Amino acid sequence: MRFEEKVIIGCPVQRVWDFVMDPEAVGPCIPGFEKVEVISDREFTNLIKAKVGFISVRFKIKTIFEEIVPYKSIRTVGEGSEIHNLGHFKQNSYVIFGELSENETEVSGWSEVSLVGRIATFGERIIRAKAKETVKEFVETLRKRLE
Amino acid sequence: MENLRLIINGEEVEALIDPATTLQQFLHNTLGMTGTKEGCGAGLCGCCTVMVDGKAVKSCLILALQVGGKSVQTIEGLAHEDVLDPVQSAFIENGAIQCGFCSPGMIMASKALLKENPHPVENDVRHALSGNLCRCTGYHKIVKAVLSVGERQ
Amino acid sequence: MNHFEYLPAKSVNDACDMLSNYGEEAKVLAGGQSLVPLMKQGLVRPSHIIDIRGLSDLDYIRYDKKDGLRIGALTTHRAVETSKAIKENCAMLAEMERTLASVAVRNWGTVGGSLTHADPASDLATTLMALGAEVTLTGSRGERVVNLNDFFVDYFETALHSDELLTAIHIPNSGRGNGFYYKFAHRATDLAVVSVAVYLVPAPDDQNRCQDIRIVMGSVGPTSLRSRRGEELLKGQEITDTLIEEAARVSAEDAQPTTDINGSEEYKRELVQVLVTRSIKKAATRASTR
Repeated sequence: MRFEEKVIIGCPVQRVWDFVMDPEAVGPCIPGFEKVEVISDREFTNLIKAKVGFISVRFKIKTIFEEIVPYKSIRTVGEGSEIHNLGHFKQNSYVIFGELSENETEVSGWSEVSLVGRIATFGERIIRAKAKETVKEFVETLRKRLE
Repeated sequence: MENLRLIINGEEVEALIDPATTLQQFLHNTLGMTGTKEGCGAGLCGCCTVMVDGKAVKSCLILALQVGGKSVQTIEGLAHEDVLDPVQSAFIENGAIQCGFCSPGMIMASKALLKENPHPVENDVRHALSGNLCRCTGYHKIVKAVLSVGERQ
Repeated sequence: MNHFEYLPAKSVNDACDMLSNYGEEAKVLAGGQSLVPLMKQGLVRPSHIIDIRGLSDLDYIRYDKKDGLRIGALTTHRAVETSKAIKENCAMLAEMERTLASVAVRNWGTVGGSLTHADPASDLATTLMALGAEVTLTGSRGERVVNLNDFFVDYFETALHSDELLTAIHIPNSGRGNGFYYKFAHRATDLAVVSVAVYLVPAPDDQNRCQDIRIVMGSVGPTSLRSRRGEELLKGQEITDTLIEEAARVSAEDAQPTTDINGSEEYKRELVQVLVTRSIKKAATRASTR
């Protein structure tokens, strides 16, 4: 699945950048976020809970900042498994930060996500229907926390 | 562990089992009655078909504890001494068995049909067997075999 | 399957009490034809299973000319399929059952289990919604009756409270109406790719005029969906081909299909349009010849 999003945040680019680069700050913006473990300044692991219909799943996902251009762009890759082995998750994303004005930053980007395994087979319809919603929710929470 | 008492092929059986046991697992693994097989494990292929109180059911989708006090019939219970059941004979005569993996389920589903409808037409047979998959025969000879039993009865 | 504690319920009250006690860790087991496959895959791992299949007083089919049809939650699909009362007075229901899974699954699976599982592809949910059915929900605090329009909330989610059981289905008798269920699937025993159920009541003085109609679409949204706009177009009107086409067109617009292995969103919308057209025509023909 491919997602593309764009959001304008009423904050200076520096503040937005610092927030997004801090796993402990940005993690809680993810719907279903439970826990984050920072491994290094480029690596961290998130524990994320989601409900697919009446089935609860928990994914442990390791994310790596692959390419960092300070205050301009980030390239990340992530991979993880469901704790009961119900599925496997992979993503790679590219996020761009644009300074619109002193107090306005445009954050835009795309994400390519793949989900395989039993939960994907069972819940394909639900996941496809809800994925876009989830991404929008994340972006909204991010904006609210910053502004 | 829970206690289970039921009748299998006319004989009383009693056992202590883990509740997380399907009827198919109980028959095949616990009792060693390997005629009832698990093909897909999801209730789609029909290899696990047995009869409970005369009705066809998918034993891989039923908890064994739910058939307590009931009468189960499996493929092993069809033949009497050395005399095959008419459905079994018809399958052999009509070439309706190749690898044989689907055959116990097919035969049990067919027996259940003939119990309710002793003289089915082709559509009845195909509808009744829609829950049983065969990768070898192409179904034609299976249908023919079941129809032939109906014609003879 | 994970290990669980097996708790056979002695009565509906007993089951509700146990549900109150164990909450989300417990799952109710009726026929298990939807639940057991999920448990075998490890997708659902309840620590307690409350088996209600033994509650035989929930297994019944009663028809009354005035009151309509009442079906107990633990009635098997097969019993509904083969019931004389249902074949004679609610043929659409019996016909739908013949398309549901396979005989062996219908012999053990229950109507209550099917509704509470709330798969949006459910043939039973779509058909019962078209029939204007309501369900009785019984809990520790008493009973309530909910129309099926309000029962299905989301994918696999219903309005059931955590301590409640669905105990009965009631289809009110509308006398002159008739319906048709159209299921499109790639193979026999498959879940519907798209399905449509239409129930039409003709005007008492004019068989060609529609007094009331329900159009329900299955498998094209998080729950079965009523095509309200389609229905409004036909209510009180002469049933013409043009009007049927228009109703089918808006139904396809209001459907919410998702692209998946069975077909694209566009393909499914096209299917909705075709199935609604055919179902309305069929229901109208049946209703006018009753």
